[in-house]
Amino acid sequence: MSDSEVLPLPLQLFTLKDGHVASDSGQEAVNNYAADFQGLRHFGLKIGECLELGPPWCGTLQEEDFTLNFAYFDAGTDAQDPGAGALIGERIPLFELLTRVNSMEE
Amino acid sequence: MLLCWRRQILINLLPFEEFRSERLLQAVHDARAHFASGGDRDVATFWFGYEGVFVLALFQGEHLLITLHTHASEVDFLRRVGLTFLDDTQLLVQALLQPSPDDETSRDETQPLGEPGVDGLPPQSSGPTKVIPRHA
Repeated sequence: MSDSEVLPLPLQLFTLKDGHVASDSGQEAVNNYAADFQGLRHFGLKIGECLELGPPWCGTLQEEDFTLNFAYFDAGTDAQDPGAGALIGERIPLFELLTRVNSMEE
Repeated sequence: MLLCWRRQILINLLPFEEFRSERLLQAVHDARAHFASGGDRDVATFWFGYEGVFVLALFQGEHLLITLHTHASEVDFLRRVGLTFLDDTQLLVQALLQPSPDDETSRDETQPLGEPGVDGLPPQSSGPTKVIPRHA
């Protein structure tokens, strides 16, 4: 592998509980995920308001080589509700990542 | 389904009032701008799940396609179908907005009209005029 090649971000998992994000991936990863999660949830709420759909229970954003999502468990949608999230440095099927996150429900 | 070009709605088939579709369009664009504001990020897809319905937003060039669907497992199929649809739509809309150079070439190759005569009328053709009589 040449020096110019950069390995894609591996799958990183996060838990959402009482409005906090936690992960084994380290504080920097948590901070980065939390920033994206808050932005994604914020715009999910705005889109829900536009169509009177209520708050989102899951959300995903995808770039060329990056996918990030969140999902609340048990039909929860409040910021304090338990849930989980994930990110990975590649474009993977959206349903696959949602399934992976949903499987974190205990 | 909602098809947009930049911040304009081209086709609105969503089962909502027009103003709600307009707000939806602006909100999705704002979301993309939010994530792009920090650097070179370019979000191509947003997907949100609500009570009983999912919202899938796909960006392709200057186009945006928003689809509502009911089953989470449909999303990756709908994403592929949507991107194919946007590819085709992009060609059509671009053809309308920016006529291709081929059109200019073909215009140059057409036979120009001759200069009007001294009486201001078009010049007479040297050959016989082909008149097709209305009644044989």
